[in-house]
Order: sequence, then C-alpha cells, then structure tokens
Amino acid sequence: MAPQPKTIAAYVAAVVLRLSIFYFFPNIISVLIDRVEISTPISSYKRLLEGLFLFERGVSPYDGGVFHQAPLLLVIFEILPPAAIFTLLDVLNAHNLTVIANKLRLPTPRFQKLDETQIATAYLFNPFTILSCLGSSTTLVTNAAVIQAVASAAAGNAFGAMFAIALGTYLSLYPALLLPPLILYWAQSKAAKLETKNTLSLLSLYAGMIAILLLVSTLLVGDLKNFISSCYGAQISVTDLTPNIGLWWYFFIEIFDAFRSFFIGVFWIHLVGYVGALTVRLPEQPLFVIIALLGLVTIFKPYPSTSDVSLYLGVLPLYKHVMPLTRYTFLAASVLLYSSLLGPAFYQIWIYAGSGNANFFYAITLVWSLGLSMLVGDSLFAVLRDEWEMLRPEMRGKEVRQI
Amino acid sequence: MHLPLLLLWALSLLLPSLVHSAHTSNWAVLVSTSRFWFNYRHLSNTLSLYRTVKRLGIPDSQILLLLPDDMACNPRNAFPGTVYSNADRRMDLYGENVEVDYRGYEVTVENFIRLLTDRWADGVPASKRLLTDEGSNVLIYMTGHGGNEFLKFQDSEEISSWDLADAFSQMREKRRFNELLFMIDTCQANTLYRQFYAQGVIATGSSEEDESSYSHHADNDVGVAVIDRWTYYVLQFLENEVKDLQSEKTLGDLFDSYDVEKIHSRPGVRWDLFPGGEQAGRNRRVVDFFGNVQGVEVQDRDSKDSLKEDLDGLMILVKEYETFAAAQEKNRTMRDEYTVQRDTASMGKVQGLHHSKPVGPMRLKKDSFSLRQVAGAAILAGLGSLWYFGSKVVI
Amino acid sequence: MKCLVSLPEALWVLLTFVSCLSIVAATDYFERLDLTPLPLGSLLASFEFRSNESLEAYASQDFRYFPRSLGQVLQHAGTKELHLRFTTGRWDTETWGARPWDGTKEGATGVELWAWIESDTEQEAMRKWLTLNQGLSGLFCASMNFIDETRTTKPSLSFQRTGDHRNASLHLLHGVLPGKAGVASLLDGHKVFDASWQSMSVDVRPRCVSGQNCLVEIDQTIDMVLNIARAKRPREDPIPRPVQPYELICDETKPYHSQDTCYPIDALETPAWSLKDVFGRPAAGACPLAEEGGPEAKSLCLNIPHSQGVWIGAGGFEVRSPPGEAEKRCYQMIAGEPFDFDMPKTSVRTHKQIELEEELITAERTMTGHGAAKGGMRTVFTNPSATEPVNLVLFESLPWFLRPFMHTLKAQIVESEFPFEWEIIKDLYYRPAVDRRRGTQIEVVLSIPPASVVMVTYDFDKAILRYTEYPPDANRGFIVAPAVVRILDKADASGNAKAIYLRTTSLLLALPTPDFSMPYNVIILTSTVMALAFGSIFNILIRRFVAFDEVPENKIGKLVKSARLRVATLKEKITGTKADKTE
Repeated sequence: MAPQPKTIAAYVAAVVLRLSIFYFFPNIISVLIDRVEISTPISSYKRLLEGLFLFERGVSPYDGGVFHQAPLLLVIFEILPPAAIFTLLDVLNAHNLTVIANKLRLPTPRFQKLDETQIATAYLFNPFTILSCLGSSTTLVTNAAVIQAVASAAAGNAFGAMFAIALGTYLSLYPALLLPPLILYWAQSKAAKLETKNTLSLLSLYAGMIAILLLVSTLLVGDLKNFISSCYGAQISVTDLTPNIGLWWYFFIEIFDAFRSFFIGVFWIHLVGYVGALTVRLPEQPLFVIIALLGLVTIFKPYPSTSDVSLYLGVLPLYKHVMPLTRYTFLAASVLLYSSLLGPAFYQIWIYAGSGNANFFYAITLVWSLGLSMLVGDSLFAVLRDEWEMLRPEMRGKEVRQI
Repeated sequence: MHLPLLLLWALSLLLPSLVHSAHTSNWAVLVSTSRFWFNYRHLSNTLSLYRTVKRLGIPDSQILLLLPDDMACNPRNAFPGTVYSNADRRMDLYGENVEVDYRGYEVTVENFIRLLTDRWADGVPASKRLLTDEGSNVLIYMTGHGGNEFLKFQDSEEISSWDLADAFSQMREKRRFNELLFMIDTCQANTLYRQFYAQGVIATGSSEEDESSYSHHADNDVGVAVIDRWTYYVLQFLENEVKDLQSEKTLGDLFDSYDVEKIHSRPGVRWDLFPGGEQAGRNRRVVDFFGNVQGVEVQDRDSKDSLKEDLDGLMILVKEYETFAAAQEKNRTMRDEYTVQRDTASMGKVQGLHHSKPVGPMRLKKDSFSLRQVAGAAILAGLGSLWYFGSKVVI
Repeated sequence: MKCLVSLPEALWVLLTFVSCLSIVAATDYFERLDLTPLPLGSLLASFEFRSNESLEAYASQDFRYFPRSLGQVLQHAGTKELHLRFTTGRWDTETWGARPWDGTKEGATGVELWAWIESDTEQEAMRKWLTLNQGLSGLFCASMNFIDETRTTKPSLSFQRTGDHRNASLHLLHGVLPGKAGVASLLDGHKVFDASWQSMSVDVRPRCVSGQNCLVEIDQTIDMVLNIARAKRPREDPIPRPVQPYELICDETKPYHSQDTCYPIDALETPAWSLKDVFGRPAAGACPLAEEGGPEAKSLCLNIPHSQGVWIGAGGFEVRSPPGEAEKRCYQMIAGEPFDFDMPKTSVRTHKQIELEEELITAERTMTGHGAAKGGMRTVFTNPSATEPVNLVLFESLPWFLRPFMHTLKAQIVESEFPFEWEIIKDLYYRPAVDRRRGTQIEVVLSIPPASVVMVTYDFDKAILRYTEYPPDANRGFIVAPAVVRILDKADASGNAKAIYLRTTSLLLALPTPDFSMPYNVIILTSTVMALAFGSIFNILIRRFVAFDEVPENKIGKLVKSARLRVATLKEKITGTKADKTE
C-alpha cells in the first residue's frame, strides 16, 4: 500500500533535517557521537571507525581493542556513507511503522484506525530519534531489523520476519527475546493456527539465518573465537563499564568481585524472565507484548541508549487507544523530561567540571529507569484493563482494583 | 657416674630457661599504615624502630619493613633522601642502609595477613616472607590511624582486631612463633588487641578506647610532626637503657617506664595470653624481642683458671643446643618434607597453568583496493537477494 | 635477604679495598668515573663498572666478580641477556645536550627491564619472564613483581640484542613499571638523591671475542646530573637561604638596574667544587682489582677544556687527551691514597665551555584535552639539523585503560623551513589491548624532515575501572610509561650500526572515579529500582481486576472494620455521656 502524501512529506522533511545537519553542522555531529547517552561501547560510531581501520588493514578487529560490534556493520559502513545509512534507516523505520499501523486491527471497542502520518511523525520527529540518528549510534541498524521483523510479521511474511529478527539477534543479541511474541503475532496476522509444524519451521528458519550470518562473519574476519568472545561475550559479561543511561555500569563498578558473576546472572535472568510472563499473560495481543518487551529491554539491558528509547517511544503510539486508561502519564512524562535534561548536566559536572561526582549522574539514571518503568507499567495496566473491559463492558469508566 | 652427670646436665638445661626464653631466632615485622606527607610521623616511628632492632643485631633478612609511602624522596621533603624522627636532625633514619620489603601499594591488609600466615602464591621472593619457625620470637609493630578495634591501611581499607587475632592464632597453630610482642601506636590502640586469643602473645598499645594518641613534636623545616609520643618515650627507654645485647632490662621495666603525664594517653599492656601471665612476662628481657639471639657470653678472659671452667661451660652449652637442635630438626624435616611435597605439587600446577602467549604487534598497512571490498559488496548483495526472493518462495 | 649492595657504596668499597681476593686477569674488572660540567652550574657524573666472567665459570655457578645473587636469578629464569634500568628525573636536552651513552643506558622513569629469554615456547618464555621479575624485585627491593602480563610487551623494532648469542630460540620481552619503584633503597648518598636526573643501569650479556672463549659481561652504570650549588649545601641545612646582598650578581643591562633593584644572573657562574663537596667524600684511591696501567687504569676523567686550570691533590697523575680528540683529562690514582681536586669558580663569560653534543632530535609528549572521559596524545619532534632527516621508531606501551584510536593517528608539520613535501608516517605496528590482560603496544616508524617541528597526535578514551582496581590514592591518577624513541640508520665512527635512544617523560592519567564510599548504597539503590519496576509489573500481571465495590473482604479487613466500629461506639458512648452531662 502506497503511503499517503502527508506521510511522504513527513519523510522528506525528516530526511532534509537530518542530512542538513550531517553536512552543514559536523561539529554537532562530533559532539553527539561522543555523548555517553547516545553511544555505548557496543554501538559507538568512533569504535566502529576503529574496527574499520583495522579491518581495512587486514587485521582482525576483534583481537583486543575497543570494537564489540558485528562484522556486517563493517561491510556496510565500508561501502556506504554513514549519513545516508542512518537517514535511510530512520525513514525505513518510519515506513515500517506505518505498515504495522495500517495493518493493525484490534477487537477492542476503543480501537480506532491509526493515522499513519501521526505514527510516522511521532517517530521521525521524536528528539530521541533525531539525536540517535545524528549521533550515529549503530543500534539504529538493530532497531531497523526489529521493526522490519514486526512489519513482516504484520504482513504475514514469515520468512521476512525470521530473517529480520535473526539479523537483529546477530547484531545485538536482545531481539532474540522478541521471538515468542513475534511468532504469535505472525500467526495472528496470518490468521493461521500455531502448530508444532509451523513453529518448528519458523524456528529452523531463524536458526538457519543466524548460522548463515555467523558463517559469513567468520569468512570476513577470519577468527571465530575472538569474534564471538569480543562481540557477544562483551555484551553478556559486561566487561566495559563505560557510563551510560542504564543500571548496570555503576552497579558492576562497585560490586564486590566475589559476587560479580552471580549478579550478572541475576540481571540477565531478570530481563529474560519478562518474556515468558508477558507472552503467557497477553497471548491475544502479541504486538503489545513486543512493545512492552521493548520498553523493558530499554530499562534493563546492559548498554541502553537513546536509540533504544526512541524505538520504544516509536512503537508505543500504536496502542494510543488505551491512553485514556493510563493513570500516571503526566508523572512519567515529567520524570522522563526531568532526567533527560539533568542527565547531561550531571555528566558534565562529573567528568568535565569536576565539581560533582559519579553519584549525581548515577542518581539520574535511577530516576530515568523509574520513569520508564512507570511508563511501561502504566501502559501494561491500561492494556490489561482494556482487555478486562472487553469481558465486562459495564465496568467502563468505573473505578477498579487489582487484587 | 652417669646419673649425676645427667642430673647436672638436666639442671643446666633448666637454669637458662628460667631466665632466657628458649628462642632461636628473632624476627621483626614493622608496619606503617599511612600514606601522604602529613603522616610523616608514622613512617619515622617505624623507621626508628627499624633502626633500633638493627642496632641490636637483627639482620635485614629477618626484618620485614612495610612502608606505604616514600617520605625520603617526596618532593615536599626539604631534606632529600632523609627521614628524621627528631627536630634536632642528628640522626638520619633512611639514607644509609634501608631495606624496604613492602613499599607503596603493596602494603595492603591482604598482603599483611598473608605475610603473617605465610600463605603465598608461588614465586614470592624470600625477602618478602616471614620465614619464622616455632623457635622464633617475633616483634610486630604497627602504627597509623586507627579507631575502635580497627586500623586503617592507606586510607582505603581497614584491618580489624578480629583479623589480627585470627592471624595470630593461625600462626600459633602453624607454630610460627615462640613468643610474640605486639606493639601498636594509633588512636584507641588498646582496642586492637582486645580480641587476641592465641597463646604466647604480649600486647601493648598507646591509648585506651575513646582516647587519641598524640604526636610529640614537629620540625619546622620538615614542616610536619616527626614522631608520636608513645613511640618517642619507648624509644627513649630503648636508647638510654637498652644499649646493647647484654642489657638485662626487662619488658616490665619498659612498660613501667610509661608515664601517662608525658604520653598524654593511657598505654596498656595485655599479659593474660602469655604463659605464666604477668609475672613471667615481666621477666622477659627487652632484647629477647628487640635484639638478635646469640649464644655467646662475653666473660673476663684474664685468669687462666677460668679457662677450664669456660671449657666445661661450653661443653654443657654445646650439649644443650645439640639436643634442642635435634628436636628442631625432627620438626623441621617433617615440615620440610611437607613443603617439598607442596612445592612439587604446585610446580606441576604452575606448568599446567596457561600463561597467555605474548603477542607481538601487527603491521598495519592499508591495502588500497582489495578482494575484501568486493567480498563485502557481494555479501550484502547476497543477503539482499536472499531477503527478496526468500519472502516470495517461502510461506 | 640482603639487597644488592648499593652501587655508589660499591664504588667506595672497591676504592678502599685493601686486601685482594686474588690477582686477577687484566680484563676482568674495569671502572671509571666521568665528570662533565654542564651549563648553569650542573655536573654530569657517570660511573661505570664492568666485570667479566668466563661462560664456563658462570654456567657452573663459579661466580667471582659477577654478583652471585643476580647470576642465580638469571640462570633460574633462563635469561641470556638482561637490561635493567632505574631512572628518575627529566633530562633537559636544551641545556645539557645529548644524553650520556646515546641514551642506551637510560630507562623509563621508574623501572624498565628487557631481557632475552631462552625457551621453546612463548608461554614458557612468559612464565620465565614473570619468575625473573619476581626474583629481581626481591633482589633490588623494587616493586618489579608488578610487571606482569598487563605491562609486558614484545617490541619488534625498538630493541636489539647487543650480545653474541649462539642459540636462536630467544624471546624478547619488555616491561615497564613507571613511577617510583624502589630507587631509594639502592642509590645511597643524600647528594646523589638530590640529583636533577639519575639513571642506574645493569646490563648482562654474553660476549664472544674471536679466538677466545665466551665471556659473560656485567656492566653497571650510574649517571646523575647534580646541581653543584645545591650539592654544596650542608646536609643538615639544605634549605636554600637568601644570598647576601653583596654576593648578588646583577644583570646590568636591564633598564631598571639600580642600587636597590637587581635582576640576579648568578646562573652564569658555576661555583667552585671538589669531589668532597659534590659526593661528600674524596675518592679513596685506585681499586687494586682494576688494571695497573694503560688507558683503562685512568679511572677518573674530567671533561673540561685544556685551558681550564684545576688544583689536584697528591694522589693522582694527570694525563690529558691528545690533540684532535675531545678535550679531557684523566687521572690515575694510587691504591690506598685518597685523591681529590678543586675546580675553581668559572663563569660562562670568562671561561671557555666544553662543547656539548647536540641531540639529534628532541621529543616531547603530552596529553591534550580536558575531562575525565577522553583525551589526546601529542608527541612533538624537533629536528634541529638543516640537512639531515631523522628516521626513528616511536615505541609506546600504554596501559589497557587508555584506549587509543589508531584511526585518528595523524602527523603534521607544525613549522618547517624545509620547502618540500614529506611523508612522515612510514609504518605502523600495533597490538591492541585486551581489557585487564594486556596493554596497547604501538610502534610508529616516522621520518622527520630537516629543520622541522612535527606533531604526531591520536585520540584516546579513558576507561572507568572497577572499585578494587583503583589504588588507594585514586585521584592522583595513573602513570603512563614514557615513550621510547629509537633513532634508526645511524652509524658510529667505525661504520657499525649505532643505537641511539631517547625517552619522553612519563604522563599522569586522571581517570574518572566512582564514589568509593558507596558500594553498599549502590547495590541497595539499584536493586531497589529494579525491584520497584519488577514488583509493579509483576503485580499488574498477576492480579485480577475487580470493580471497586466488589473487592472481597479479607480477615484483616474484617478485623479492622470491627475494631473501627468498636472505637466509634466507644467514642459515642463517651461523648454521648458527656452530652448528657452538659445538657
């Protein structure tokens, strides 16, 4: 389905905005590339350039050093110019969101057909999205893979969905958590029943795609062991503790050495545990499970950044019909605004001015996480209440309790 | 004929042990726990004790000196290469012959406890180890900033009285000392030895709970306080009363010399862990801990009659030491066998230990155009076509 | 264990040695002291002690002039060639000229050690290297046990074997422990400690002269630059006091010079000095172990112009250098007789100064940028020669928490009188760091054009460390080892390849620090936030919805309700009674 003219206008405006800053204000770009809120050890553009430097000289970029990203990115960034890549990816994401929006049909009476221009604009002109794009965070490629997977699933394209989610997993590991709700979503869109045969073929497609990608990577860089330990091991064992907006870095700086492995395990189990819980609780709304999981991943993954937040805030408007049921929207929005303004300020006084210490910035990351968790929890509550009201329509507008 | 000789011999064995402790070596562990220039006095406390034990004969190989900072070569030191413990600057404690075994960041609680209990990884040189045995008298002196049952190490970690008590009891279990004299000069020092429970330990500290220990005086040119009060008066006693190894001054004399008016805090002594209690402890000579044991007695050599007496006395001493040495040997051979076994076992482990291969640098030369770029483009094209056609072919 | 006897003490001990162990062969022991006055009242004193041992005697542990303790450590660690350096201070190239020994006897500030170790595999070489470091740390009372795998590199270009080795399976390993590492216990003498720059080196290498058996040679040098005026201050009172007004020498060319305004230029004068002034005692005569005659027996040399007059004591014969060579005079001392001389006061205005060799290149390295997150490294090379370019290798061994970005490495000419284009970076050898296991090693081959100043820069990121990885004084920062510059393609007078080295200063790297008082608090706070998020989502998922009025009562609710009812009735009763009463 061709996009509407208004949507195309939004795309053009977004492209113009990004490309003009890329070409006319390179100082802003270099400042944004260095900001810890935007680039993390696993998504930093500077580290990608370093890996590219070694790759171009025939040396494995994974034997030590700072590069912890997938080799496919090296190939992409060696051939294509970065500004074009990031801008096009943003537009692709917006387009895929409109695809999902157009295909979305929910049985609840509150649901109204979504306006694709609104969805696209909400994503493209979200300040977090713009900052991530200009800051050249390579998580954008993962985001594109994730949204593409959801869009393919919405269109009933199993191969596309598995291909894209395998690509996402290959790049950033966490999209593997979206596999169960994704399969359910595909089944729902295709109006197919989910049998063992289907599921197994989908999973084998997924596994096959990952195998192909790993094989290709090994051919590119040569040594498998260093690649796996540097790229995926670094993400799992969190050895690089560079400050970011997440909860892991300061915790693992201060933790006693004897408990380090234990807590790494605990934090990962905590994150992974949400997948099963949400999928089992909301099997009829797998899209919302994906949305909620994206939000939870943004809070609890080891190296979150503004691009993860921008992804979450981009998919959240798909469920705007439950907004009347939310309780703490204003509070969550204020907390998020507060922390996004104070975070950079406190980082500045810790690292550059020296008049504050790490606790200031750490406190802001706590507040930020609380704000995001409020948003996730609140939207989850709203969706559950909406689901309940479908069963008991007389409860609309009444006060409820959860027991 | 045998019996009286045996009896005499047995008596001669008894007699010395009443007056002298039956120790065969002397070791000293001297620890300063403070870093930074304004804690100059803690280092000079330790170095003064170091000088004293060296003066009284303990060799460097049996002294373990732990100094966390370098005052002598500190850029703030107006007298480079020197550490003074007195404002008259008559005696340089550092420059001539000092062997610091643990310096700087090596002075940590972990290293100190490992040193006491001798639990080390392989490869630690002997100069850093306390190689005592059950005939060794050990002097342990600690100084720094402390509090109620703790002592700060380098302003970043602490050792507690329980840690010390457990370390000493481990030493007692492993028979690593004959008798131990523990001296500590910090604030609330006496609380540090409150928890000791190993036998054979005499402990003394400079101040009671809730009492601070004070510095004695400062040197205006060095710019900081150069000695602490309690250590100053202990040293005064040692310098004036214990001039050499023949000194018969006892620990009782030393502790009686404490003058609360001068020290400005109440030093304490703990006798209850010592076999024989306060009575036996007070009779121990100061040089039993501060000096090096020597089996030689210098006597008047003029008269010839005494020659025979000397020879007889020498025979008795020789026999006495032979039996003692034989007993030691038995213990030591068992211990040595054990250490040899342990060493070979750990050597085997070390060889199995995987030391990472040292990697040399790689030469970086940019290849202008390469197969790599073509391969990259091909891979991207391949993936793209896989995406496109796959969606069409598969469900 | 007794430390290796400190070397200046060794000098005095040997000089006062009266009873010999045995008559020795002529080439077995050599010692020399070279004194070179430097501008602005400084003095370069270079001690050298060299002794040989035949390879058979060494292998059978028959040590005579070779220190037994060192020999045993080297044999235990399978080390065939050893170079150990202890250095503190900064060599002022502008004032003092070229480094002594062409920089070959200098090390990084702190301890620098490189050795050729014989072993079959690289892992075993590393193991032996660690054993060597442990042994040497105990021997020299230096914290060399801190040179572990994270501080060890395998330089490829920067160091070369200087000994003659038969065996080919030798591995070179190099380690630096920058900062202070125990020099205090070794260099005795408070005058020595007051030096502006001091370097002690120990070199052990095999030497095979053709037609003879192989020897193991140990070469120890101590070089120091002393400030004469400071050395002359009494030890009890080394604090500089103001000079008396009548002793002030003023610069009369200044416009404001007058009776009560003075710009002191006493730096142009070097005070009078003698061995006793500078070292605290005179030379105690020749060493009986050294040669009796010939050029090697002149063990004390003064590098001063022939026109300079010196008062010498009775115990030495003077021999001046022949014309055509660098001007210097050497003294042969008599065994057992103390020897001293008096250098009179000299002034740069009236006395001829010895010509100092000019350094081929000057290198300065600094960190740029601000903040605790990232920075840049900048090395500035100055080539003073108008015609000769300088080819050099810049070797840097960086700690793992300093993460350089090699893609930002660039070299640019800052100022030049050389009109042509020049390619500066010729080659790059790079070994990236692995977090907590090994550091970065960079070797850049550069070519500096004549009469130019070249700046080589790259960016780096600073890592944040774990709580326990910071030293007790964390906010001081970490020391980054000096860079080693090796000048290539230089030959000495006889055409053999000559090694010329210089080292930059070490740097202090300030890393971002966490709050060290906070471990429990951080664990609690982060866990609380995670629990809040988890708890709220868990509750939302688990609980079921009911209308407000449909909430079933539970026991506690019932109890509370009945309690409230009772309190209300009680209240009513009391107030009711009161009401009754008032009414």
